[in-house]
Amino acid sequence: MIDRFAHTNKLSNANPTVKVVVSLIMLLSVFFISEPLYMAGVFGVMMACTLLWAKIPGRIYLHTLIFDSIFIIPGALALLFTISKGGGDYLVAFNFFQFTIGITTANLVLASLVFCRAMSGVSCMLFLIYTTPVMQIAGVMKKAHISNTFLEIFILTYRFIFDYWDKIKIMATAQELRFGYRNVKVSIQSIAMMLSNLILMAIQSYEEMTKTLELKQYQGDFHVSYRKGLKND
Amino acid sequence: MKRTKNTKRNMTFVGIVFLMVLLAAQPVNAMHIMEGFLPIGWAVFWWVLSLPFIAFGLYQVGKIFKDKPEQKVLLAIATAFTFALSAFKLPSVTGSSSHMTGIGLGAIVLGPFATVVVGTIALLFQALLLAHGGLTTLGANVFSMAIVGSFVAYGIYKGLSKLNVPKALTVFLAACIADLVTYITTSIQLGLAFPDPVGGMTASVAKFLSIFAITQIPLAIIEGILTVLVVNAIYQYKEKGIISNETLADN
Repeated sequence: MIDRFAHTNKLSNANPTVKVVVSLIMLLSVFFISEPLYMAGVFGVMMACTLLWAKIPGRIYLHTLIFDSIFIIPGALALLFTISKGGGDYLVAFNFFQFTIGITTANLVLASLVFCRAMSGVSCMLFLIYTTPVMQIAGVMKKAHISNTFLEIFILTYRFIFDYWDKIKIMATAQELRFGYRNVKVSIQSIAMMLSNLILMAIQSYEEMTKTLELKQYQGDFHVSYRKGLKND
Repeated sequence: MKRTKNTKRNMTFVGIVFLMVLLAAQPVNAMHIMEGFLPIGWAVFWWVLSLPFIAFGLYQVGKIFKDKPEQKVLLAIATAFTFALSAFKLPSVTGSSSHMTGIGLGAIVLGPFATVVVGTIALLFQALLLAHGGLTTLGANVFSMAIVGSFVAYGIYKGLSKLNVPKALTVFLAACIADLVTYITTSIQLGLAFPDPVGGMTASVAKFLSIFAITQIPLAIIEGILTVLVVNAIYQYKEKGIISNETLADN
């Protein structure tokens, strides 16, 4: 999971505000400078920063990148083709029943532009999430005066996510050992069993945590702190 | 003679590309719009549309927190649960790996406004921890999934409950239709942002709808079935007294 690298990379102790602001500015700049060359530049710089500066292992980075491009490619392909009933200025076209499916110059330009922009956008996002732990992002959000209610739920959720992640893994292994997930029907049953069990666990952990908080003289607030990239953050 | 040969070659080419589209469309997950995919104007537009809902949801949730601060933990658990759903790769009929949105379940158990908050934070974590979706497109994704999805699910659930439709069918329809509506909204968002140069906006929406239909329709049905099974389990736990009645607001 990406979170592990966010805590162990070479830039994890750098000033979080700088990291957030740099990646956001790079991200937004791609929208205003619609030059494919510039986008490729952003992509290259952000990738280099993540790989060489923050020292994220290339294999892992590539894995996420390919995974993301799998999302982008179908959308870009949809933009590449155009379907209409009449003729048009097609570069390549063929007839499909009474429709014409083809690629026009405008399609080609649009699809490649969107693809480049999405890829460079993803590289900015990856830089941010690979170098900045979630708690630092929460700190920056606090500095940006984002609603406190939102932040509290945000950090509490972060805590529970890893709790559930482990539980899901353990339960999935147990189910697989007992021939769960062996076909579609059984998979649906297995997932339903796991989910209802998980809900039960969730509600029990809620009740337990409520008791714990009462014991700790909980006043109704969780506090988020902003730290400026100290050691042992 | 020459023309037929050309058409034939074109057909082969298009066939290959079409196959590629089909193959590439397989792993599309709960269909969030990726970072950088929307032009800035539309990204801002969907943010502006979503913000009032998020703000009102936060306001409502905040009001509940004033009386019962421990409800924060419950909401966080619900959000983590929604996020955890994306860990379930469903081996769906098309062989793709898709995941549930959990919005139907949330709207039924928590109500629509709390679900908006839950969905927003879950989407934010998907962007931050899994690199699904993005920050600029978060507004559009929140609108299609957390706002449209949860209000539709809640409306169907409340409406059909009044009409004495069997509980299982009500829950199934609420979750399933919420999923479908989310997917239709996303297609419309993409279609609005990228109108087809020849066919215009409608053609573009149709294009996105048909590409994503491959994974989204079976996924919606599976999500419906799963939500029914999970809601049944919750009721059974409640009847057996494993879960105390105060924890879950009675719906």
